[in-house]
Amino acid sequence: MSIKSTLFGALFLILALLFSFDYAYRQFTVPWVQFLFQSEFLGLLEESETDQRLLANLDPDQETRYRERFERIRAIRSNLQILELNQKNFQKNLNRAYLIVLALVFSLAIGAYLLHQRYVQRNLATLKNLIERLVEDRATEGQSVRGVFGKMEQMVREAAELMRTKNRKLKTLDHLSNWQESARRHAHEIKTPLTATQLEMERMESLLVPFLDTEARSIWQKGKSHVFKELDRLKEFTVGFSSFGKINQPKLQPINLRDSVADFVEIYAHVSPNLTLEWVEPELVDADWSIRADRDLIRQVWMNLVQNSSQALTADDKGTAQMTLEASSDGIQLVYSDDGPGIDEAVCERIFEPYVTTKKVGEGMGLGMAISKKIMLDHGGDLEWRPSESGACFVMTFPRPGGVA
Amino acid sequence: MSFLLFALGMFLQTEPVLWLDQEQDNHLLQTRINGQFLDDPLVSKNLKSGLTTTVECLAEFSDSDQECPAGGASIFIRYELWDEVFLLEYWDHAGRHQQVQLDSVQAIQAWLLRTTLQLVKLKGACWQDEAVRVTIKVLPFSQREQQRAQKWMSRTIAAQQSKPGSNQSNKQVMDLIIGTSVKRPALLEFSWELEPMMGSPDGGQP
Repeated sequence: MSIKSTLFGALFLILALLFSFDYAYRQFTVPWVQFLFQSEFLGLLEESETDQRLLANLDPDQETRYRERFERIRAIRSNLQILELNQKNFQKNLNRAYLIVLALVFSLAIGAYLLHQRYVQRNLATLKNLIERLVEDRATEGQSVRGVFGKMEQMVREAAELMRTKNRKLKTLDHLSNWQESARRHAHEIKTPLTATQLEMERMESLLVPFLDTEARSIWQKGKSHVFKELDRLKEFTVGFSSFGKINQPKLQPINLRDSVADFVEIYAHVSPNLTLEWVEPELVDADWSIRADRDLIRQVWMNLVQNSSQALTADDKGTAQMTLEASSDGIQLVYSDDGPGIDEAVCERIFEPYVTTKKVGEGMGLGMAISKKIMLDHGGDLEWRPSESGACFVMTFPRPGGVA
Repeated sequence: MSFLLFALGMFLQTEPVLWLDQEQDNHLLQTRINGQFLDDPLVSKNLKSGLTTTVECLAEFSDSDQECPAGGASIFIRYELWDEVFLLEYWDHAGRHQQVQLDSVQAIQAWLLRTTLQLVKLKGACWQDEAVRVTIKVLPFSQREQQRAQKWMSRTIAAQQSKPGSNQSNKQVMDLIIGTSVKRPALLEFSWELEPMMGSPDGGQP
């Protein structure tokens, strides 16, 4: 609503109220004022004065007393006479006083209303600007409002942050899904010629080797060994592609995350010779750790993290990895941290991309973290790297039953 | 129409006569008022009401230099209901004060006719060739009665507002309303432009 229309509306309201007041005053208050000044009272007082004189005549001994009464009555009567003569002035001035007070009150009310409107409009404009900046993903520092609008601003920021997080997850999920499709096709395309090549090699061996001399057989065996070695590597990649491409959708069941993690740690505490896995009891002892998850899939994630920690250490190193739980309004967070060499910051940004690895060639395809991320996203949660002073730290967020992290 | 004729008649009959009497180096502007206006119904009713009917006689010279001072006289007429007599009090410009007790309105009128009111003491000759504007106002009550009525009302309201729970600041507003509402509207008002005659009302020549 513009200032002009607000002012016009306020002015109309004031005039209507003033008119109503003036009408009500004339109809209701004026008769009461007239009642006070009616001549009947003056007539009675005049009669009282006459009565005092008559009494004084009848009882001369009390004349002084009657005279005093007479004077008192006369004084009041003369005051009332004077007020009666000025009755119209009284009505007029009372009316003016009422109207002035009413006008002042309304002016103050309208002034306060307009100031409040201005305050609201200003804050709404700031909020609108903030929302536009958030939508366009521009910087929003310095955009700040107070009071109830401050709370609205905070809600908008939280909603925007939630949307950003969800969009990021969706984008990642979509990205991984595309990689999965690609991996499935690669696996399928490679498997057929791989099998054919192996079969052909064996057929050629059975047909040609009987006709080769010793030296030629030795050369054939060496060559066959190289070829089969490379074919095995290809097979390994194909298996990796297949497993990445065929990540099942989680079959959610209610589990107690604390108990599940504690059991896992107990079983796999020393699964790697150079890594010890430890369970750290969470600070919130009485918290509810119930979630809905696929036990096998989330164990796959935990195994992947343990293997990565173990493979980051050399054979001579000894390391420790810890698992604990944290509860937040977003959900339940399982924190995995080790005291290994950590992850290069340049790689951290892309650690969950398929085929990104810090391992040497032949030691892994770099699909483990991508698979783990996909599993956590399919659970409605997330897997994120958390910066730490030493070692590597990952946080798995599980939504509470009925919610989405 | 009859009212207008009556008013006109009253106006003509009430017209005072002015005298300029020399006293050493000064001149005294004097007058005698015709009390016919006391027969006016409004004035007559007010005379018997017990309030002090006030007659103010004002004289102003119409000189453009304003060397001649203005002046006047006041007559207070109150009907004493107990004794059923009129108490009359007279103050003039020279500070002369007189109190008389009269029996009737006619006696008042007769007293006015024979009483010389000193309006202004003039120094020099500022009055020469100048007309005098004389105004006679008949007011329903005196200034003292006006103030008494205002105080009485203010006191009564203050007594009400001294009770617990009342708002003290309203008293000032009420006093303002009382002060501006209680006025002395004239019952009658006449005005003439007159030229004074030299001499005194008793017939003495300067």
